[in-house]
Amino acid sequence: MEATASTSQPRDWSSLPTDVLLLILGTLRWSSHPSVALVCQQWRYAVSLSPFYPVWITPLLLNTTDVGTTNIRYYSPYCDKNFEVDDTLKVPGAKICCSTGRHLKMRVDKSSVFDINLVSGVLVEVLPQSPYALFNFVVSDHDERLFGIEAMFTIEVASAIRTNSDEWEDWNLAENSPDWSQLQASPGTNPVLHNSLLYLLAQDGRLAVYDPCRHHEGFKILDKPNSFGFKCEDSYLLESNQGELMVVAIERRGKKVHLVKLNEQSMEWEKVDSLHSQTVFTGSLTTMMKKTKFNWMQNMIFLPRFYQWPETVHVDLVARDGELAFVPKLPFCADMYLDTCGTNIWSYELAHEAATKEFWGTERADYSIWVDFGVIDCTYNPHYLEK
Amino acid sequence: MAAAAAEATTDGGGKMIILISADGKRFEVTEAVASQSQLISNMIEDDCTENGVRLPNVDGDILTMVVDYCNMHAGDAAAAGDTMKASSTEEELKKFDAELVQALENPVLFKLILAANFLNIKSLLDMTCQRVADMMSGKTPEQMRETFSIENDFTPEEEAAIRQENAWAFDD
Repeated sequence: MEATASTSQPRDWSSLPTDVLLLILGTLRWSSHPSVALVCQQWRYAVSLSPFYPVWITPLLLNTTDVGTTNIRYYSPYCDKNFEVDDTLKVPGAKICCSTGRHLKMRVDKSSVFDINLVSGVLVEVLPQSPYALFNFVVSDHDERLFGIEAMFTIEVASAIRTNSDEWEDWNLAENSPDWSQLQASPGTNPVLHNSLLYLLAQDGRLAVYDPCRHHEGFKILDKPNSFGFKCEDSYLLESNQGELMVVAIERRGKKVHLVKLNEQSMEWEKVDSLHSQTVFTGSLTTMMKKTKFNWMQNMIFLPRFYQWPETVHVDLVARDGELAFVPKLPFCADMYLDTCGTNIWSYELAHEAATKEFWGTERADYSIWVDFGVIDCTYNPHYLEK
Repeated sequence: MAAAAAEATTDGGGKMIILISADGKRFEVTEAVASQSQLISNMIEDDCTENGVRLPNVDGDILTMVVDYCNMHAGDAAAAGDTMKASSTEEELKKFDAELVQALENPVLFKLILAANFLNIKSLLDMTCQRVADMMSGKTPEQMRETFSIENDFTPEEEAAIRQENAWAFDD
């Protein structure tokens, strides 16, 4: 009996059978696939048979029609597509609180906090309900410590420390709570950790600060800054990659977008003209600044508003050697060619002080937050990553 | 005579099979060893191995390596005979595999992959593919072509088109 060979025997590496090449590609990091495609025609063909979209290159806007019941989608500003995975946020009616790397914190009822690992889908109830507070904000500090902040008539702050991998100590409420009745917290932005202090932004540009080392003192309202010096409708607090406290402030109907930073000597807000090639992803409770490798994104501010609802691609989230990609489900028919000219997301070019398109007619994405799968869990530190 | 040899049994009672390489070299192995190849395992099931199995696209030197590998790994198979090899520890196997795959010259690695693919020996194919992946990892297209002696068969336009499609990977 002769085991017959199907075709004449190939001679060199460029003629590796496609199924063998696919096996090899299956063990390679996603980011090396384009280089493999450039080697020769046969290799390129094999690469084209395992299509994927890179996940780690920019932050993504996680969005869902209804928290906990509808599938999670991730909008990629680079691909201008919405990638829908076969998974929900698992806790119906939960409020999205903050994102750190692959982790998302959600709050249910008053102050019961859940953590979902967006890649593995594992859901953990981090903290049971605290009897005395209804948190407006929940902020995670490197997943080692959580702060719950209520900012209605007074500012209450509670903290919880992780004692080991899955255990958290109970909420510990600070004794002091300043009267906040004369001020209103900016509702769409989380408080931000800056130089080990937690800053809370008011709508008019004032700040309250809390020192976790002096927990019992709670928040204190600072005398300065006392205003932005201009009127705005929405404001978002962030710490820049240079370690400055910044605010993105948006005028009514997006007429103008201001970027200011806190001068810590004079304690006043100062105008910022350039992001130094960085990009800001804001308009959600979590705001992030990132240096992407794309020239067209430099000095731009992205907000979760859309002209047209982006095309949805049904995908699986697949990790290879620490890199994540969206792999389209079969049958696959959407085009893989990434057209970066016309994106549907509203963005603002800081250098030209102009929006890339009219604000008018844009639709806000509900239940959305920026997430960044390009960072590694637990060691997430923007300063460290950018240097 | 060949038929008799193929039907011969070892002391342990395992049936023997003759594998014949492209250049006519003959290898006598037990069924347990040979059935690590899905191709041969299917042939055994179909009862068409009695005259020996000709493998016209596997050279003798490559088949030697494949048979060594299968002998070494026969212990993995459920119906392992009482051969000495079957008692190889996991550690020894790992060492054997690592040495085998590291020592391979490029053309031999290539032929071994084709043989593993043709014979459908999954563990050997995975191991050799991993070796190739390691050799590709972190290399530019030019470096990969050099490593594997591949001619660039793209026109400049095609190359530009691929770079354009994957601008996220190449834009700096």
